[in-house]
Amino acid sequence: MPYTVIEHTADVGLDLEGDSLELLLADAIKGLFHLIGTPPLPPGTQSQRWTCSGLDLEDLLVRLLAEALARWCIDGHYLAGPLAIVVHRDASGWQAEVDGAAHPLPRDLDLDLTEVKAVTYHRVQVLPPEDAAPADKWRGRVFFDL
Amino acid sequence: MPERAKYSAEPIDDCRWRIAKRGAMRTDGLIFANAAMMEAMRQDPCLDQVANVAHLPGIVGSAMAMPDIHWGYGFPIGGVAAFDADDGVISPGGVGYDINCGVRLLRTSLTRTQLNQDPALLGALLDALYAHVPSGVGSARRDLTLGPKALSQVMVQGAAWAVAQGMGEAADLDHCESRGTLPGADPQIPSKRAYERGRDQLGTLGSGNHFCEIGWVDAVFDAATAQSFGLAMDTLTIFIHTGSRGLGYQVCDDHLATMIKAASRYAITLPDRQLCCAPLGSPEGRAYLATMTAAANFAFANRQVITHQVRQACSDVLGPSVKVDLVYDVAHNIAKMERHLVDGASRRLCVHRKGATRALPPHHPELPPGYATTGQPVLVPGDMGRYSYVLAGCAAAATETFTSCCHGAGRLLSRSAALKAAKGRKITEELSARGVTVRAYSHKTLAEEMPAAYKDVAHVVDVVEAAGIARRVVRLRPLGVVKG
Repeated sequence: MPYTVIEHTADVGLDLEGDSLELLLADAIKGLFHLIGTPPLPPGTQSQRWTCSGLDLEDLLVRLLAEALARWCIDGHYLAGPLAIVVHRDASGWQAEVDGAAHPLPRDLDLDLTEVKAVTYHRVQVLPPEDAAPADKWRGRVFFDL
Repeated sequence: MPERAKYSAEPIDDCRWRIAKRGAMRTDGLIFANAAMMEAMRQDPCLDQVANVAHLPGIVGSAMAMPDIHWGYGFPIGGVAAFDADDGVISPGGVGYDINCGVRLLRTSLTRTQLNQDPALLGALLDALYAHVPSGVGSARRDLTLGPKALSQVMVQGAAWAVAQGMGEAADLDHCESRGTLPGADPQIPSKRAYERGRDQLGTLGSGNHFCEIGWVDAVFDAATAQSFGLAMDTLTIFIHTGSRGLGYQVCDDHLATMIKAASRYAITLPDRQLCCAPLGSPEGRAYLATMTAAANFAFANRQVITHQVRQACSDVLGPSVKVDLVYDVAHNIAKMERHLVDGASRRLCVHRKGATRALPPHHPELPPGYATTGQPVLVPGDMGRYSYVLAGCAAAATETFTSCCHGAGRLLSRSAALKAAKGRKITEELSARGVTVRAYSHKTLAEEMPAAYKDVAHVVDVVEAAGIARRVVRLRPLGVVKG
C-alpha cells in the first residue's frame, strides 16, 4: 500500500512509501485525494501540468501537495489516474514537474467530502532507502490540517 | 498516535505547572491544567510543543498553554506566547491556518420557554439557518461573490465593511474584539490564490468543527455580570463559530513557505519546522503581520455577515419583533500587537494566541462602556451535546497570561477514533434524545464532532477560574446545531 492513513489529535496524516522518490510523491498526491473523498467522477479530464520547488525534499513534498490542494479548492480539479513526476536538483534546491489529468468537478455539487484546509510541515519527512526503516523503499510522512 | 513527551512539567500549584528552562529554551513553559489533565498529557507531545515555543527569540514571559491544550502544528492548540516588538519574532505556527477562527455569541429577546410554546419553531429556525448560512466543504455564496476591489476593502475594514453594506448595526462593532477591525492590514500582499479562495466564501461557515448553535442559558453564576451581558436564565442564544475560510488557509500556507527560508536567513534555529518565523521588524515579519491582519479582518467580516443572515432567519421564523443582539465576538487564532505591563514597565508585544481567547479584565481601556466594570465576555464553547460557558476576564489574565484564556473543550479523540466510536450508532438520534436537534451537511463530520470526541469543557473552565484568569458568568445548553 503506497500510503497509510495515520491519526493525529484533530487532523490526519499519511505514511508514504515508494520504489522511487517520484513514485512516493505521486502516491502522496493520490493519498491526499483519498483523504478528500471519492466522489463520482465525470467523464473527461483536463491535463494538469505544473512545476514546484522546495528547499529540501520535505519542503518539496509540502509544496507539491499544497499546489494540488489549491487546484482542487479553487478550480475543482480532482486529480485521478496516472501521474508522471520528474524531480531534479539544482543549486537552489529541488524541482518537481508534474504531468497528470484531473476531473473537473463543479464546485456547487452536493458531495460529502472532507475539507482539507492545508498541508502542514508538522513532522514532515522524506527519507531515501538508505536512511529509511526498513531500508527497502523511499519513505515519507506528511500531516494535513482538516 | 500517542508518544511520551520528552519534556516534563512540575506542579507550581493545583492549576499551574512549569516546564523548567533547559538546553536551548529561552524561558520556562507554563501550563494551566489540573493533575488529571497533566497525567493525560504525559502521553501527548503537546508538552514538547510548549517547550519548543520557548526556544523562539525575543519571547517575553513564559511559553504558555491553557487547559484545553492539545497537539497542534508548531504551537500547541491552547498556546499563548508574547514576543518583544523590537527583538522578537512572529510565527504563522503561532496563529494557525484558520486565521481569526473565533466565536460570536448573539442573544435574542426570546426565551427557550417561549420558543418551546410552538414545538415546530426550533426545527423551522434550524431549517432557516441551514438555508441562510452556507455550510459544508467548500461552502460558497453565489449572492455575495466579491471582486478583488471589494475583497480588498473587506480585508482592510473587517466587520465595519459588512455594517456599511447594511449587514449589521453600529452597536455590533462596539461588541467585537478590536471593534471587528485590526489596523495595519495590507490587501496588496495576499496572493492571487488567496483572493480566489476567499471571493465567494464571505458569509459561510465551512465544515469540520465550525457551527451555528441555538442554545439557552441554563445556569447563572454571576447575576450582575450576566445582566450587563444581557443574559438571564432561559435567554435564547445563538453561537457562531467560524474563521477566515480558504483565504486564511492560503495566507498561512503562502507565508509558511516564506518564513522557512527567512528563519534560515536570520539564523533562527527551529526545534520544529512548523515554528518557522521571522523577526517582527524584518520584511518577511512585517509582510506576514500585514497579511494575517487582512485575513483576520476577513474573518470578522465573515462572522458579521453570518450574523446578518442569522437575524434574517430569526425574523422569517420568529417574527420581526424578536431582537437579536451581539453579546461579543472573540478571535482565538491570532497574533496582535498589544501593550502589556512586564515587570512594571509598559512594553509593546506581539501576542500569539492559537486556540486561546483574549480576556480583558475589568476597567481595561479597550472594553466597551457596558462591560467596563465586568471584564470582557470570554466565550468558551463546549461540544454539541453538553454545554458551553460565558466567562468574564479577571485580573490574573493581565498579570499572568497577557490577557489570554482558554477557547473551548479541546479534542479527546482523533477524527478516526471518533469515527470508529460512532460506527453503528445514530448520532443524530442520540443527540435528539438529549434534546439537541441537528442539521448537518455531512454525517461523517457529525460523527467526527460528536460530544464524546471532546473533553468536558467544565473541567477546562474549572482550571481558568481556579487560576483567577476568568470567572463563570452563565452556562449555555445546546438546543439545535447547524454543522458543516
